[in-house]
Amino acid sequence: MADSPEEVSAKLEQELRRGVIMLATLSQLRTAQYGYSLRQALATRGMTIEEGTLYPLLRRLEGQGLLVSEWRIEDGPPRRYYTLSAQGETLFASLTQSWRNLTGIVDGLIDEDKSRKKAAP
Amino acid sequence: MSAQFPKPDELITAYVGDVMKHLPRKQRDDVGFELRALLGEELRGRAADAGRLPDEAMTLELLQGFGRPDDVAARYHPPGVPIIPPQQTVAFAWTSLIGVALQWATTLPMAAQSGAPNWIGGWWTSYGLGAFWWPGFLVTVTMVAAFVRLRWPAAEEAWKPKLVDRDHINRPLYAVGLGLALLGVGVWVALAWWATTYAGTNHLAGVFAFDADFLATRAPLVLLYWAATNALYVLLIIEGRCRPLTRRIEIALTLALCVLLMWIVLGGRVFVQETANATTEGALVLVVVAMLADAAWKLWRRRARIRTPVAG
Repeated sequence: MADSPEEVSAKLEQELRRGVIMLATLSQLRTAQYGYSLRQALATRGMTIEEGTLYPLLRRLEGQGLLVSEWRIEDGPPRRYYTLSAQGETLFASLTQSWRNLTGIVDGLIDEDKSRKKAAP
Repeated sequence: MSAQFPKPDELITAYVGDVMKHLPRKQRDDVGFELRALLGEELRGRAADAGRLPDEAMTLELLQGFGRPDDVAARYHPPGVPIIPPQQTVAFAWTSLIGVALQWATTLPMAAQSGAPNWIGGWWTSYGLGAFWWPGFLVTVTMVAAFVRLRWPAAEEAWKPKLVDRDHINRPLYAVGLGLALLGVGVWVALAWWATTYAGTNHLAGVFAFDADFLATRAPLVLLYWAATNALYVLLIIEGRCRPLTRRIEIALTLALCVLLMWIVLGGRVFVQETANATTEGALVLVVVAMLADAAWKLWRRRARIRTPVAG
């Protein structure tokens, strides 16, 4: 059975966010963060990521060599802090450039459509 | 006795334990410790937002929102290599099902004919379950293919255009085919003469002795068919290409052979000896089935590959 329009919309939005989540995460790990503090930092900037998505992502990025982590004890229980590795910093710079190019192009495409509608009698 | 509700920390520990079961052994302790701490902080954060102490309901809501333990563990794994690529899934499923169904269709009537008591049970524990060797074999082959793709990605060749001239005739191959056909005619005629001449005195000749009615009525048509086919082969070798006319003659000869072979089978005995006759008739039926399948395959391949969509 075909998905309802709401389900299709939710799936497409999820696909759209999937690639962005990684870049958003890397952006916040230029300074060391542990899982919960990172999620809070992203949420306060309007980027809410479910904990079930974010915490495993940190491990996968570390497995790919993009993050390094260490256990620290600072006013509370032991926490695993993550930060960008050298490889992660390079990739973050490259992805940032790609993201800016892409958003510029997509913005142009969307605005072109808007201006065409305005120009129509 | 009143039910003992687990405390939030116990719920989290139980949940993390279930996640850990699905993780690689070397990751378990580290991820488990971190996950338990993070879930504890999430819970305390939610409780602070709600202005109350965390309870079982709040903990369950958090954990159920986090996901099923096996799903969560899967997210900790890097993307794996699919054993059966998505584009091959349907073909794989059909190949598996058809293979099992063919084995069952062949063995079930044999078991039913045996007349043994509880023949279904006997069939199921032998051929019925045994038929599943086929999907297992296919999975093993696809696993080896997946390993090769992973280990030697360059082994997957880039796409190359296949410029196939379907009308081209491979002259050496056709010449070999013509030679074999002439040899077959010679052997067949010699066999017929030898078997007919020595049937009374030689046991082996008796086995291959042709039925008199077959030699009188159907055998000449076989020779006629061979003559027509060999003439077509000679023509194709000379021209080096298939023309629409020769293509049509080839199809007509194929259909004629099917009809001829079925007439040979249904029109009476071929050999005098019973075993030789039954074996030959069975083989001829198989040849007809193979020829029809080949003709259907050739027709299917000649269909338009890209059809023009219907507008409107």
